[in-house]
Amino acid sequence: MSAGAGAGAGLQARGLVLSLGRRRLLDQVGIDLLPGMFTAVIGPNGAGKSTLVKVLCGEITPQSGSVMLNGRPLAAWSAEDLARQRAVLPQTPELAFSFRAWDVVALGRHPHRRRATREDDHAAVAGAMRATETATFAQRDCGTLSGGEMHRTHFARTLAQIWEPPVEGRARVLLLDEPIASLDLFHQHAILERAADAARAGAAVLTVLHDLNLAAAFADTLVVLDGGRVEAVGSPAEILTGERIARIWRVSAKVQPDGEGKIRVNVERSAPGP
Amino acid sequence: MAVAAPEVSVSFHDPMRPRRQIAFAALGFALLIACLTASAIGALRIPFSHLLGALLQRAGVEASTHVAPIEIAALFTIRLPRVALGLGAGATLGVAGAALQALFRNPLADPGLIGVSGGAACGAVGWIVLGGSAPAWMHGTFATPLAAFAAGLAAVAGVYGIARRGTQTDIATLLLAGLAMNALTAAGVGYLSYLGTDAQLRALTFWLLGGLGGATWGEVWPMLLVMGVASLGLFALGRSYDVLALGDRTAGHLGLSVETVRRCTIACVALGAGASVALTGVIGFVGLVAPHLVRLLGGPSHRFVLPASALMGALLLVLADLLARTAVAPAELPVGVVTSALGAPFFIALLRRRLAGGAT
Amino acid sequence: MSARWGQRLARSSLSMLAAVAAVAQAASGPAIPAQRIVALGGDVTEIIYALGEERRLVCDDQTSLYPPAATKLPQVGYLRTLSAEGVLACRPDLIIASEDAGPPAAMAQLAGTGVPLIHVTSAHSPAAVPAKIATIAQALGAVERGRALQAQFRTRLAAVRAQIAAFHGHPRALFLMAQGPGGAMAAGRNTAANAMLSLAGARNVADGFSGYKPLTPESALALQPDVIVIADYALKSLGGLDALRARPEIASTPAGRSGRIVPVDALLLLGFGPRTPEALSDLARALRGPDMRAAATH
Repeated sequence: MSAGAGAGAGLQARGLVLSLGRRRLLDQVGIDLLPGMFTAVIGPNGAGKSTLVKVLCGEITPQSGSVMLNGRPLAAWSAEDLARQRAVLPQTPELAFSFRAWDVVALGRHPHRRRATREDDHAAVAGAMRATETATFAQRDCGTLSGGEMHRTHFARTLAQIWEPPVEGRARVLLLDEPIASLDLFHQHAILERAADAARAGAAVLTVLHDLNLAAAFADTLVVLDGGRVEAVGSPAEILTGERIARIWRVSAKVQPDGEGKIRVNVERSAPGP
Repeated sequence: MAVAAPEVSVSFHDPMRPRRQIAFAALGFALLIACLTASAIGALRIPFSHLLGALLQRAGVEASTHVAPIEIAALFTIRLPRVALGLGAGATLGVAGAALQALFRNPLADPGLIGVSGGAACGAVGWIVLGGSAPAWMHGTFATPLAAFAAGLAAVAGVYGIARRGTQTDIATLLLAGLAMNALTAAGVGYLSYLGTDAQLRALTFWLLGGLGGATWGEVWPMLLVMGVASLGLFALGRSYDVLALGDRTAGHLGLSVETVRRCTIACVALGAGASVALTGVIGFVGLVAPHLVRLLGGPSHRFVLPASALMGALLLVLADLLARTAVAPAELPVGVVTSALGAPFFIALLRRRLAGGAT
Repeated sequence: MSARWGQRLARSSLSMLAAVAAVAQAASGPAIPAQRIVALGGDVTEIIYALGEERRLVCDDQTSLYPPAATKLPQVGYLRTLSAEGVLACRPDLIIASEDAGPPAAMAQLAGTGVPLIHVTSAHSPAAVPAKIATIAQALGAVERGRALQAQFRTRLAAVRAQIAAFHGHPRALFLMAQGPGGAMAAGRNTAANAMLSLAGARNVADGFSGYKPLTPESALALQPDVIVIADYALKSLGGLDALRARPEIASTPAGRSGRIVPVDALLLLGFGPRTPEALSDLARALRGPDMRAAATH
């Protein structure tokens, strides 16, 4: 288990309500991200998954509800303190100028500039790049990297950001918004594997996923979001049933155990209409 | 984190560092040579050997070559203030351009984008045309630069006010507001030009085209101070600009106060570029071109780009001014014409390269 | 403030230098008159030649066109857009400049270099000419010849004015200068052209406004001048007499219809120098046309 996880460690959200005009983007959403747990948020398009991530990382303030990080409301933390504890990988990371991959990962160390030594920074960047297999192109210009390589570099940046073991009572939080969208199969698995490693090392990890099989394979807890509401929370085996998938995702699927303790979802091709 | 990973031997040595150091040294050296050359060359012929002699004579030390008083006078009251102004204005424009390119996350940004040069132009032209009826104490050599400076700051404040939404500014709106302000001030300048008499028209055209002539120490010193302070303010933001390159959202996640960085940048650019334009008139392309060249030399890290842009901007302007005063001697080309004539083709080449897919 | 301190330092250094030079000179004997003079302004140059001191002239400006010999001297630029260094390139020991010389920043720089700079009035009136002569003669140390030149000028001017007073009538005239952005520019009040028209006994139809304004067809209709006086370079740029008469704003006027258009040498007419009395006399005659010349028998 993670070291120094005190009461309230991790990220807790309660009763989040966010409306845009008449539309309810989030309706009484609550979520618990505990240290050491890998949580995946799944749901159809427009369910509010990305919105939820934005609220959890403090970008958007909900009309009501609270988000607590390591026992204190988000607003009670300074921006830098927040940055030292939680890292966010957005859906489409930007880079305005073509830095080297190493420089981009090193930017993740920005919140630590006043506290960490150069050696610490160096170790964090090197470690993060090794872990994400981006070290081989560390010296290359980002303009020359493929989309997948670039995405992994950004992921390495988030790892470097929370590389340090947590301070007493403060768990690290990692929020990933659809981190595998532009990656090939090998790298999809590699990133989720690293995210799972981060969870095993004590971080509270949340990722938004579309692929139900990957969610089932890697996550400990699934949160199903539909129409801004939390439909269900539980382990993959509890959540992924043919009935629920048909109701929420509107496709028919067969769910089977895969013989290794995980379950597999097979989506059946919809029959051509009359 | 103790994430298990294969041990890969990675080279983390930064290959760009020696390049940056060499680039810096080369720029500094080139600037020094340019300043010496600019001091030595002009309509009045002063041999290179007389430069040192003039310095010694001014200091009261006997030198082997006797330098004519007229050369000393020309050197210290005409040429040196001019070179100093070129140095200061060029450096400030270079840094301001680099800072705005970082802020807008666009390598095609220029200090004029936030409306400071348009506003300053309006202020200067307004004073030239309408200031005749102002009380006597307001007149003097400081009047036009001060009017330009104040108007430039006011224009930027206006642009910022338009783009502000609560406590945040929207970058896209900032850009559009700057464009609108430039259009407004251009209309103002046009109308004032129509109102002006012959003599006033001549004076304001002179100002608008940009020139370093007529610089006296009395005007140059205070402006250099303002420009220096503004530039140092921007240097301090170097690391923040690197983080900003990741986008506003991610920069915020990394603990950067994006709004504070934005405000500081706009304030410093307004002060520095405003002071520069107030004394020199509108000089374009230096703020656009200098950061580009510097990034080509040493990469995009802002802690290098900002000071290097200062050196490069100063170098470009001192050289452009040298060309302006020698190409059609004894008359002078307005230096803004020279920078535009050289800068525009460069800009076009840049745009084409960008279209072809290479990011700078 | 650091600015004034810097300026004071520069000024005191220069004045120290000048003082040393002056002491050295005084110790060596009476002051040597300036031998390298730069004249800025056509009227200034003309007066220097009239005083016979042209040997000491080394450079002039682009508006110094009379006498023709003056155009052979090196020219430092246009009077109103000079560069200080361009003037200094002639290594003058005296600069005599019309007050019209500019830009002000360049003149301030020249003043700051320690080279003696004499300003000559640029008032728009023939009465200013004796003052100009006096200033320049004083600067050149040719006071006697200056007085003689003044006397000649006053006599000739008085004669011309008497001549004009004897003319009949006050023709309604309009003075056009070079092409501005809106076409030919008409001279209103407070212009040198207006002063000359009044002295020539004409009535400036455009005295409703001040300065130079573009002449539009509507305003030409309102003004209806009988005679149009036009600077010769403006006439050339407009394409000559026939082209001018063909223009709508001109063709609608009595002057355009009758063809009473008088080209003049603008620099001469508006320069207010030694030849002003003659220029005035020619203008007065041309304004009244061949039928009026018969009246000028005095």
